[in-house]
Amino acid sequence: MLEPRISKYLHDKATKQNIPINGTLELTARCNFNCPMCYVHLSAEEQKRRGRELTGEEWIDIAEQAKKAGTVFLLLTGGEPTVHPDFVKIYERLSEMGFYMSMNSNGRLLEGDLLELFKRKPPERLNITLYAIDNDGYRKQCGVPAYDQVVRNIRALREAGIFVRVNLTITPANQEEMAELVAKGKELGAVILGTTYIWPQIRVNEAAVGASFRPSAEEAGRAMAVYDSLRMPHEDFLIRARQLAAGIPQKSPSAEDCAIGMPMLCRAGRATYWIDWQGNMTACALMPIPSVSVLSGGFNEAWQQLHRDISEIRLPPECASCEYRRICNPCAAKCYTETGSFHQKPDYVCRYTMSFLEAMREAVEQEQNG
Amino acid sequence: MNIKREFVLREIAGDLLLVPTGKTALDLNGMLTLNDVGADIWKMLPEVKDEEEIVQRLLKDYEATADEIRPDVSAFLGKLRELGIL
Ligand code: SF4
Ligand code: SF4
Repeated sequence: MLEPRISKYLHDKATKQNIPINGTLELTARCNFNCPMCYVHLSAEEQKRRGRELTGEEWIDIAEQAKKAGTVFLLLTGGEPTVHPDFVKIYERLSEMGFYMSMNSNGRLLEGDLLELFKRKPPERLNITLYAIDNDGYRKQCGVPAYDQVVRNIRALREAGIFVRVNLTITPANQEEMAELVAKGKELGAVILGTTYIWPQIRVNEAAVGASFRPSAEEAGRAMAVYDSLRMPHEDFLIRARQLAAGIPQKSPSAEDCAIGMPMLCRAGRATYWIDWQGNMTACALMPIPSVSVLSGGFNEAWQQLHRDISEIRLPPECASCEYRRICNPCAAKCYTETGSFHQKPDYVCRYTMSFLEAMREAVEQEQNG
Repeated sequence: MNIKREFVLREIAGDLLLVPTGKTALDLNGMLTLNDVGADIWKMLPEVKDEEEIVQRLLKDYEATADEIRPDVSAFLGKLRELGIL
């Protein structure tokens, strides 16, 4: 009668039945860091100009509605969620409701009372981003020399038995120290998750379609191959590189698919959702549209509407028939943030994928030539 | 019978899950699912004094004999003890 983890099974089932099983609550757009490539964070003044943050009570009410609608997995994020004035109250109440709850954080404030809070009510997982390998690097990348503090906090959380995943975002400011950063991440975290793809900042600035503080697609794609070589044992990396170099067999999509483009392939809007700091439900972090307020008609109505809107979206026809699709994982959010449209091919992403593959092929050749 | 851990029983798309809360989440890192009988037993646990009382109560709701029910109840409680829940 008792079974082990069935998370994937539940997600699959929820996707078929259109149950919002997995949600993210973006408690605030504010942050106590100031990273130049951030896709979300706003200054306190700018946030105020755009609207108001929801109160603790409002978030608790939304979470109760979400629970009734079937949400089991819940992620708290920001900005930096711990800077929300009611963070402790929100966290305490939500952690009693019966969610598998995890949280994204930059780690800066996770000490003292907050450490005690997590010891008493441990989250399923904390995802903490490590931005640099020393205080100077943090100053450059985040505007605050917080390296020592963040590392100390991660260590204390791990000691308390809390599962910490260290996230790594490779940016122009830390790219040169990627090897040290990955090593440090492995040392500190139970697991690591990294990327060299940086999202365009259209949520911060509408005009930033396809733009952020990021390297060229070619540089970022090649950096992803380097990251892969650092994150896994060399043997495993070579196996992956050989498979990628040999090409991954593809099922050919139907003519109709090619003509109209594919519907969205991920679970966003079918089993997962995002609620931004103003109480708008979207399919994921990066898709500013479709967006439905949960404050006016309530959670369920927003979810039904979002689901209807999402089913209308079609991805670029080029992606439907592209042989690199399985490697590239094109998605609606990438298309929209890169091009301003769901059905236009995201050029940056194409070039990123090609450069990544080229670097992988070179790794195989290098190995063959000894 | 005394449940030593904190859980919330959730029903999702026809599946019953015991989601750990509080410190339980630390040492029971996983997901527990129950079938219908398991969920019935779970709900009565705080009110019953022993295994036999569970069997007697289940007899009222299920078309089965005490001898058929007893092994299932034992196995379920055994599993809960093994996990340190009971
Ligand atoms: S820590 Fe995260 S939320 Fe804060 S500015 Fe940096 S990327 Fe944005
Ligand atoms: S974004 Fe480019 S590389 Fe990726 S699937 Fe679409 S066409 Fe192919």
